[in-house]
Amino acid sequence: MQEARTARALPLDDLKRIVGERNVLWRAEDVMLYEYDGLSAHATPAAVVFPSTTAEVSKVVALAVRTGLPVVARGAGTGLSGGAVLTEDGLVLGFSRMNKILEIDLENQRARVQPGVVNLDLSLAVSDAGYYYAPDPSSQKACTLGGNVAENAGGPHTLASGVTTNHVLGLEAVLADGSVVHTGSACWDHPGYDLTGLLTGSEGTLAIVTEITVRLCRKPEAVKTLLAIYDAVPDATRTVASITARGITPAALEMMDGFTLRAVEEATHAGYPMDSAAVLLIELEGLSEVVDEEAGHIECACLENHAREVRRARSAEERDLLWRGRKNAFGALGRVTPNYYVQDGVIPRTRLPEIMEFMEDVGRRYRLRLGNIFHAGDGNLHPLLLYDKRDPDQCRRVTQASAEIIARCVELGGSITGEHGVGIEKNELMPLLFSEDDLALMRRVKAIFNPEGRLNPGKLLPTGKMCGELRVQASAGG
Amino acid sequence: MEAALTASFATLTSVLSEEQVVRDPAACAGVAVDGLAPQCLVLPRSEQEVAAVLRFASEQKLGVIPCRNATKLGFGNTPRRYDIALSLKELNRVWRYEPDDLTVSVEPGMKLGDFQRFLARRGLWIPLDPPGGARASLGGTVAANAQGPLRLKYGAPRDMVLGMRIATTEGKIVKTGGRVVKNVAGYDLGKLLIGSYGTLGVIVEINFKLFPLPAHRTTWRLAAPNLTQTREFRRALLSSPLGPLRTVTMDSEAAALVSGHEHDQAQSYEIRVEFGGTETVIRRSGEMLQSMARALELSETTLDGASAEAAWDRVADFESALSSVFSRAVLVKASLPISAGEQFLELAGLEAAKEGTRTACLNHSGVGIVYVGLLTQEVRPSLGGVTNSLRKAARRLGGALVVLRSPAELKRDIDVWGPPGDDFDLMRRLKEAWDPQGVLSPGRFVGGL
Amino acid sequence: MRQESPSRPSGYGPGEAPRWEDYSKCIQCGLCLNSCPTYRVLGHEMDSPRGRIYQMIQVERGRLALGDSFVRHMDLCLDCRSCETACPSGVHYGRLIEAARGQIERSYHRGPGATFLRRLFFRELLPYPSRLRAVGKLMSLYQRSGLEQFVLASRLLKVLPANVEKAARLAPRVENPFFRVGTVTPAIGTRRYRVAFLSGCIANLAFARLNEATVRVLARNGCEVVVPKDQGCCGALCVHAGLRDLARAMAVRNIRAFAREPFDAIVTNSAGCGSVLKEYPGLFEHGSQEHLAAAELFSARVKDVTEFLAGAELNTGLAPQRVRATYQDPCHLLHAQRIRKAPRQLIGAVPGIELIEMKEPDICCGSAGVYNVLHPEMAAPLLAAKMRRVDETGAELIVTANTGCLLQMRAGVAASSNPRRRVLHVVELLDEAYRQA
Repeated sequence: MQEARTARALPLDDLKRIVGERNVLWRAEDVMLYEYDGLSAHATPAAVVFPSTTAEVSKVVALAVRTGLPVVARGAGTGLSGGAVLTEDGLVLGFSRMNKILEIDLENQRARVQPGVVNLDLSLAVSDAGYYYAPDPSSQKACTLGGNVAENAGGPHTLASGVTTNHVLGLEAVLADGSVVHTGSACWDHPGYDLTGLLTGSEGTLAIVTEITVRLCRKPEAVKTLLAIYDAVPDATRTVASITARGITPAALEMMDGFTLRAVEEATHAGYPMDSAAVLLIELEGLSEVVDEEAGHIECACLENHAREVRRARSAEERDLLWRGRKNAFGALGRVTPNYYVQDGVIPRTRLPEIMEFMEDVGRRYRLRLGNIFHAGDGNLHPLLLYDKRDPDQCRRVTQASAEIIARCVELGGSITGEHGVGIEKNELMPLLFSEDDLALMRRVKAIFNPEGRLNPGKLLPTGKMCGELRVQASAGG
Repeated sequence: MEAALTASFATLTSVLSEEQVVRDPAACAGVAVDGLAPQCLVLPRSEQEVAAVLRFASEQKLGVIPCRNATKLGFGNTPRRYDIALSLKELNRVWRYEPDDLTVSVEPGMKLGDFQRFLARRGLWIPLDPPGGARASLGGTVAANAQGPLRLKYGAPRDMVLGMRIATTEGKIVKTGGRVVKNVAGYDLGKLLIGSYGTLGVIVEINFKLFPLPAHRTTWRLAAPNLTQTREFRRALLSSPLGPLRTVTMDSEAAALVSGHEHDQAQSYEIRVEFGGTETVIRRSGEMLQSMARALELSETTLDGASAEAAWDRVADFESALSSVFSRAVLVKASLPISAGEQFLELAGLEAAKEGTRTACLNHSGVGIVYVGLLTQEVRPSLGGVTNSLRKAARRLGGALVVLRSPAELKRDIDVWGPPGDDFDLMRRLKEAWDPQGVLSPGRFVGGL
Repeated sequence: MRQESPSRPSGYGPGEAPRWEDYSKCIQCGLCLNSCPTYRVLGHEMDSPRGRIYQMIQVERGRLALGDSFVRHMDLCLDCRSCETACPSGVHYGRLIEAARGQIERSYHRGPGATFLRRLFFRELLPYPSRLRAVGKLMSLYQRSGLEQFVLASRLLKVLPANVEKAARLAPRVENPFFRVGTVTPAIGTRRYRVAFLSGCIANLAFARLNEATVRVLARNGCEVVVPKDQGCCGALCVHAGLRDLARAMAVRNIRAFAREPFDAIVTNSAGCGSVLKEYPGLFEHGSQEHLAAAELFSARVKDVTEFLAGAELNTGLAPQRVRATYQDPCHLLHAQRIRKAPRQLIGAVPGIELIEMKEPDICCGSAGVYNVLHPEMAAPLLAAKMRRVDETGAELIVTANTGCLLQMRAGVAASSNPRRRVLHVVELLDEAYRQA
């Protein structure tokens, strides 16, 4: 039963002394549960440690580095680029016990939290007072703020309100030598280099965040959700540009193709039309009369682009239903296929029609079914490639097709990842975007924080072990 | 020493043409920092030339300070050495303007006012109102992460920059970020550059996210008798569903400086609020603002379009308004919890009064940034004591304070940036990694970096 | 990409086991984590739905033994199925956990004490209404005579395992007289429906008044209510415990008892029973076609009482109730039967009532059948969290729609700062309002 482990000395007794006996997992049957995250399964950790204070994190990190053990921080393990799994024998630092909201300061529109706080729980805690935390990744019901900071998480509503980095004011973090630093502050400006901005999105390869000060936003007076239904995909993609051309920035602007929405409809009964080619889900926020007015303009934009119909959600319940359909869309495709691979490319939003055509062509050439879900408003694509991982040929085709799509995104002036992160999935693709000089500078910065590479090894930067390959996940959500 | 330098500047002309290397003393004096003039002013015309100048400076271990319009050149410590003023004036082109994508790539020497006029033709803008106002260069604005009260609605440069190209002291051009609004590939090195005051590398191209210009805008002026009232108004405004573009509170001295004439009501405060959007936004906001004002018994008036815009530009360029009247004034900026602004204003007045000095205070009340000008025509050593007391007060309230402007002779006695935090060692090592020879703005930044 | 070839023989024994068609739907996205009560309390992947499925897969692959560790984590699951609501992939988690527990039941030895108690409760007591009544009478005597107070106060139970004492404290009040089966209650006014009422097993003893209220409310809504005599335990507790053969036997008996005539509906007031009744066909997937067809016919008619009333034209002769109320979603109503609106609609139909939604009404209160008895260390923090959510609403009345939740919430209220707060089933609320009208 015991899995053979490469035997790096595991300082088990020391770990137990630091965090307490019950907060260390080391038996094979327990630690095997920490070999996967939302991407797929990788190395089995030697031990999983659950600290409850910054001091404990600091001691564990110092100990791990001293004994040469890699350390990876883990929130809920919902990430889609392998950020929370080890690539080699090492320690997992589980943050599920550091899940307290330490301070809520509404007058200053900020909150101080431990990294294990679940994204939605923070919004829930301040909702009665009329506030919320803006970045809303699809996994917000489960994912933690620590993970959000590490990955610089986005979400549908980041179109108007920005991604995680725009909402983090300050951090407390443990460095590779176990020392504790404080970056930024609880105010909007802080003299010195913006280390908060650097650490946000660094995927746990520079430091381990132990406390986060975030901004809270005032809830809008009114929210209006529209569903525009199209008989042809290009009409939907063209609408996106004409909405921006009218000077309106919706709070969210999402697109789903016909194939995806049929699966979604069967799963959620959200009321999506079964026979359409594409839908846009558009959300407006603001003063109530203004939202009404903008909804009118958007309706015009949709109809001018040959939308068959534009529906408005008439109640909070209808709105929730439409969003439930969208937020569950990835999983809904899980009903029609054993496995799928979700991509996370970005393009300038005006190139949507082009990339759609390209992806259709890729699907044809590789004989693969593609479902399309976009954060259309900001050009962030989530094509899902359907396959069955028991078939090696399908696996190969999915990998190649994905690589082509990503390369095309870069050619169109976009990026290899918009919100899921690089992790171990795309680190070998970084040269598509960055020159050797660019990467050398990143390495130099990494060496300052993580000189021996013990913090989350094998992530974000190319290892050179594989040549420009994509590492495909078994399946995914979010 | 001088001869050796002259010889090495001759090598510089192998990189740049003769007329790009200005050694005219008058021109150099124009970009002096704290009375220190550089040996020469160079005017590169391309990113490659910028990189070449930096490599040259690195090899020769010379001090370089990037600049454009010198709107922020007084910020920071007195440089340890200053040999070359690197003017980015010639780098003022727009690359890849994609109005439909709401993105643009632009060079750092472009002036903000020119850029806004260019964007306005397509109904767009970059919602920045930094110190220096329309005269500020985009590069300087980004390098200083400089922002004014518009930050309330739109954020700071750090929230609008999608990517950059940077000339490094190794003479290379590196890229950070990209040209799309959502991108998490690799370390966000751009964030390090933004707000680094030119101490890590020189920004040679900036990709901005653009915004639609609000169709209509209205600015309201309210007169408040005391800080209790301004505090109540700020609370009402920020907890309302209204999303003002910006708001400031000024004491009577600041209001007088900004409006250019004596303020009529002594001992009172002026609040300004701007709303933008459709006519409906303007109407609804106006109604709600009026009812807030009524509840607090504040009198209110509106400013019309053109004069409002000019008035906001003067608010942004508070420093010029201040220095045009008080050429020796000290100006500090405190970054505070939003709730502490009024208290700080009060403390500032008291501390200055102890030294027999008046203050002009401008509170970007939506974002917790407070500017305090010490109104003085002559330099007194005791002013250093006042800034130190103000810093203590700011820190006690949970904030920080930097000195933005101070006569050079006073700078020796005061700490411009304040004591660095426990992350300073990382900053020091980052500086070493980017600029191992210490050529970029040497000694000017936090902790003498 | 990991190769998918199982290198070792499966750790499962013969019979029903978690199936590839079910577990392969899990994409390990983790969206279920925070909806899982045990994960919320323990924060361990092993005690999350995703983790439990992963463990089931590892047993299948021969990488994990069907042993103590596996059993502990499977046992700790409340089977609340909150994860099914959270799951974007449509994983039938209930089916997986129940199959895993079936395997445990067949292949794992729990030690003599536990085996004896399980046998006594599941095999010797639950299936026999007459034995249940006998125990009920004894319990009643014990509770009323003062003996219970004596025993609980005497610390006598301290000599027994801790769970026994806790169980003794959580034991339902037996309500005399017991609910009578084999009756037909005529509709009040025009008869619009003829429905059968599944009254439950323990509920006939411990929720006799609730059952009577249910019949009265149905009658006031034009139902002639038949309570078939031969009915018995629905088998929910057995399904949750993995005793699938026993559950099948109980299902066969109920299907037969209710098949006498084509009732307009088979109504239950217990969400736990309702969800299993609706899933009877799943028990016969591998059995005879005949059983399967009968089960399908049966299950199609099963309606939770709230679902039934909300779908009928409600008699609105309800007296106003001036009270602030909040509603707790029973897991097996919301997650297993996907019924959210109906109970709220019924509460809303009572004039004067102010319904304040609590935060996270969809998170388990810790009751979960007999879970609070078996795992008090887990149920207690869940209940405490639930009561905090109730407190936030300022409600004087907690409404829910399941017997187990009623017991648990009442225990919570009794221990809370406001012990006078009431806890009612939706039909009890309606019944009171009808009777006062």
